[in-house]
Amino acid sequence: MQKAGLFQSIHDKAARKKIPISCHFDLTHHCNLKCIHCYVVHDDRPELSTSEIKSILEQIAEEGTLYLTFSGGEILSRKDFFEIAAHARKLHFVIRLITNATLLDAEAAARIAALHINQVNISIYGSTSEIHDRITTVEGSFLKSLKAIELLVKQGVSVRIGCVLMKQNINDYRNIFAMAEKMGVLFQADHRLTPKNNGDISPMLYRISDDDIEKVFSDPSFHQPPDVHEQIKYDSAFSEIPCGASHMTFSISPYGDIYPCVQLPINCGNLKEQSFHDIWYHSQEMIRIRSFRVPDIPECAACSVRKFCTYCIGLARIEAGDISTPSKRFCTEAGILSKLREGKQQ
Amino acid sequence: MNSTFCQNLPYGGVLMLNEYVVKNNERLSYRIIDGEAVVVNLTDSVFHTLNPVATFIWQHIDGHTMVKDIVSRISSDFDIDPFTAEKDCVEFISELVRKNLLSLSPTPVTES
Repeated sequence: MQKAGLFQSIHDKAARKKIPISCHFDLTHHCNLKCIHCYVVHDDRPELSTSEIKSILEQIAEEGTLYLTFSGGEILSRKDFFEIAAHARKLHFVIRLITNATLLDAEAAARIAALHINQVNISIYGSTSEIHDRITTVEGSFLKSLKAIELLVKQGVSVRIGCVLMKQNINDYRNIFAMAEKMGVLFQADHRLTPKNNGDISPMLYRISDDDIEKVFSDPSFHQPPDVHEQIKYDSAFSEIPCGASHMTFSISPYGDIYPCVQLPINCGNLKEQSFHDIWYHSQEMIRIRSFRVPDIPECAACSVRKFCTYCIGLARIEAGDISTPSKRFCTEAGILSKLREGKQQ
Repeated sequence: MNSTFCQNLPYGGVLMLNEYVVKNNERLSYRIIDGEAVVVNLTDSVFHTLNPVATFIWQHIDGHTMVKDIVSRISSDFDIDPFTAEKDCVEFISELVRKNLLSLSPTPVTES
């Protein structure tokens, strides 16, 4: 297992020097599922072509991007997906895929293995068809995803089950964790539901309660120890900047728009019209986001639990209307983590 | 990787290594970040960072350039005596071969 020191130092250097080391690339917004909590909003514009995507990959590789996450929509709905992935591997990216895997067959699993994809994240929302399919709204999706996991594991591909926690599955997530262990794959639960990218807050109806957040935070199978979290916050560039968005991470939409983060869809420029270099270093919107500092927010600068806060400027913008207005959810979560830390120290 | 060749590669076997070309292992990713190569072995997810001279060597590993030519460039570009350049280069390449980050070939590698 990689030492946290070297890994963190690479990220810290990237954040300080504004090297765009990590890219989340939404290849498409088309999807064969209709998950109730999905934040993606379709656009009528044509999506990027194969050659446009290849050119973009070459540009971002030139600027230092190492980590590349392909997501969507459903990536395997693109007929040219493997052509794109092969080109990305020739450019020596560390590639992660986020997929529902329902379109993944034995041939696809073999091709993913042959490309040395670093990890495949598969969304599983329940330990049974009843729970999972109710969330995806597509009958049979659970069994297809499980089958895909088996195919990938057989090929030696690293798989991580990703589960967004919501009211519909909060009492089931430990069963999903057990299922992941039994299948020999990793598990990661995400406790934050977000509104849709157009501001529609309907997914928030499914958000878990504060009591449930405390339950999952205190579950050692779910959360890393606060000690590690504190180390990351205070010994690096991230003691003042809220996250890597615009400092070392960015996202690309299926239409070529560059965002500081997939969770912060502020259009900083379009790759059909400008080069990535120009957008990353000279976009006024990117520079504005890059100048934001958590200590500039009076209530955050004085906060006693700031070191436990995972401030998300994307969520702040969507939920509170502005990147510099913290969502009360952050404060609640930081308070819970602080309380748990005090409990550990006693 | 030709394990017989590597087993027979003490420092005294440097002349043999010089006649080989070196190629990156397919199971890795890398990027030059702020002048230093960051290499990720995808087999075990271990990160390696290389200092400027090692990064220079890394950038010349292309499956076509012979080790002796890389050594010659190090000597001239970094103003290092040829003996030291050869010793350091061989040690570095041997270490990366042992870590399965590089492989050796007696002839230039043809891209498929």
